[in-house]
Amino acid sequence: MRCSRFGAAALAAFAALPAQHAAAADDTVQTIALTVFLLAGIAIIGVFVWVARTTAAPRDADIAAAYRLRRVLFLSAMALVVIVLGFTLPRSPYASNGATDRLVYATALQFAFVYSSEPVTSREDLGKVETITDLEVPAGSTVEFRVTSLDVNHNFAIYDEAGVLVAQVQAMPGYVNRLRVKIDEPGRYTVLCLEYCGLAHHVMSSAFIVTAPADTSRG
Amino acid sequence: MQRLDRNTLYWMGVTLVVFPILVLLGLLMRAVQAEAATGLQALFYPAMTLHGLGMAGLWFVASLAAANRVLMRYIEPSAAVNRVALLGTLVGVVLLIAATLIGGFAPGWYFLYPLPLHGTWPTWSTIAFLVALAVLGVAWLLWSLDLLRAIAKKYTLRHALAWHYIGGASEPVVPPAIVISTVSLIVCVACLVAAVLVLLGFLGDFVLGAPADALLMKNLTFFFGHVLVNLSLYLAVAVVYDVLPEYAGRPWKTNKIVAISWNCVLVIVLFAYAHHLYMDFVQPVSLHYIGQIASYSSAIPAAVVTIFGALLLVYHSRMRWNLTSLFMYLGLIGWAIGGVGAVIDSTIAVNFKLHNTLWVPAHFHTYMLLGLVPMVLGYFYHACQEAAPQQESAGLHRLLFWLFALGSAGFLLMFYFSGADSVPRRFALYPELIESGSSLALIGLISASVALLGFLIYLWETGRRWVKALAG
Ligand code: HEM
Ligand SMILES: [Cu+2]
Ligand SMILES: [Cu+2]
Repeated sequence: MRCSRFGAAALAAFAALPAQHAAAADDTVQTIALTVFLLAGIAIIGVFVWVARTTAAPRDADIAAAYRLRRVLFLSAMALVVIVLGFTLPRSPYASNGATDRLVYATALQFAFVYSSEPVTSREDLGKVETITDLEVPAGSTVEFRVTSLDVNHNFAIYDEAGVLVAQVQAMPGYVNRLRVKIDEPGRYTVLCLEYCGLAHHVMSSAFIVTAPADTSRG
Repeated sequence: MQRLDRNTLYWMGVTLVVFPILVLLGLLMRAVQAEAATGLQALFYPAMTLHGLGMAGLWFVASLAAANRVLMRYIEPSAAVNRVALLGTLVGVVLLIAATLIGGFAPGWYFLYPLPLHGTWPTWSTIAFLVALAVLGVAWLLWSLDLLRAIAKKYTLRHALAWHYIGGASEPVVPPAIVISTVSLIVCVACLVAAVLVLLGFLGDFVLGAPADALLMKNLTFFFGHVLVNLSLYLAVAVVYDVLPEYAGRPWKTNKIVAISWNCVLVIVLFAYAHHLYMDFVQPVSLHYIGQIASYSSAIPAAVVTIFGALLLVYHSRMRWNLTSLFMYLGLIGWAIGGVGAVIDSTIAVNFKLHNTLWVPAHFHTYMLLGLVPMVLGYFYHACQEAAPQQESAGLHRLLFWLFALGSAGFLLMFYFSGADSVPRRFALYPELIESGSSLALIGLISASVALLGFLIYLWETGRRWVKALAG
């Protein structure tokens, strides 16, 4: 179980994540999230258990001291919020307008994904636009997926071979979401739909291949 | 002995009967996901829809009923309106059960537009659902407005929102339950208005064939859903503010800080919903950032004022530990821990990896199942024991407390582990790629059954008193 691997080193790794996420095959963010959560959870339980135990020896509380402590807690909480915001907001995955090596239109519909080099805006387009059946992209290149939907809300989530969620974006009818990814690790990537879209939601999937640098010359 | 009014008794009865049935649907889902009940797979999505809508609605009315009873110490809500809300709720529930279990209506609990109109379920089930939504919306709106009316009869808005405390005065005394309820009811009206707009969007498409804007509908839907769930929690917290002091033997009063914090909540809760749309990259980026900032900010008043205040109340107090105080204390722990899970997921960079994985049900089940639910159940026991006192068995209370707490914790941990393992939420069956999903589901199933056992003992304890109170 990958989830049982946590480490403080993970925090350092997060700092090293480039702002425009390199979608490498790792679960660093997930590991940090779980580690922080478990540590905070244990701390909260610890404090509550400790306070509950003090009721075995009733006495008057020192309200002035408590309010001083609350002040310290408030200021530290504010500081923590500001620091974490400053650190995480710039790491948001929203598309920038940098250079793109490959543009792929990904259109979702109940219950499939269709890839093409031209936009698909209606069901009629499906017959006209040439679709890509075996999508391949070279490792290390920046690919921009233009994701939309022809019916209900779907989602476009890229999983690596180890089953780790690498990147995702929603697929909404009437809108085009731009998901830019740079995948360094060659292999077969599975695309799942992470927005509930009907009874076959869990079998809606697709895949693409990230080719090793050596065979990027292949046509 | 303190008499319990009929309406409150009925709301309690509904909660105590409906809750275990909805839990069974939850167990069914985990069983299907664990591949232990593959024959029932077709039931998964209707069960998910009914479980989610049922639980969100049930615990909203349960906390409102609990808060209503607490407020009756200070104000006079109308019993007739309360009864209308009860009847409306029952009609809504019957329609929902028919739509989902008979009709197979299954767009998930937040019925994201336009999915309800694009399903394999029959049209009548969609209609039944939309009617249920309208009936519930009207019934709850009436109830909320009546409570606001009753508050307004005794307090001015300035006093009910404790603005005079912020100004430095401490008279007239306004109990925290009034302040928190006023805040909650105001956002409740806002949230029900959003629900009406969503309903109109659906009707425009369904009846007139004019499609609504999917992004606008999603914003409205999550504004509604997010606010509804949060205000249910605040109402439960209002009850804790009122009742826990009786057990701690100390007062817990409104003061300047409490006033400021709940007024901040009133504003912040209206913006935090935006964290549900982080993965809609077309949404203006400023709204995403507002979502993260509001989500982070909402943790400060909760943690530094309410949770800290509760701990201070209990610290070295002459606490009387019984089922009520244990459950309320547990509820505060669950609220705090679920809040941490929520704040982590409200970080955009993290949400990119956790959005719509099982981390999402993990955190909201934490502050519901281990937060709101024990707070309200603690209150229900308190009210029944007051109305029909019986000898309390400390041993039995401890036993059921631990069964419920540990069983729920195990169930929740499996959701968190799954989320961190990239297991999607709302998958009836997991693809081979995500191997850990089904084994974690099995442990979740077993743990949740233990929690249910704890609840059944609770039901025996509270139910006996409830029956006596009803007869008496
Ligand atoms: C022991 C008790 C419970 C069990 C076993 C349980 C189980 C589940 C399961 C298995 C799911 C589906 C998860 C997924 O794959 O997406 C779910 C969803 C949900 N549950 Fe619970 N649950 C319990 C208690 C509660 C409570 C107390 C609430 C209170 C609000 C609640 C509200 C919801 C909601 C809103 C959903 C989402 C439904 C949807 O995605 O459409 N549950 N629950
Ligand atoms: Cu889909
Ligand atoms: Cu889907």
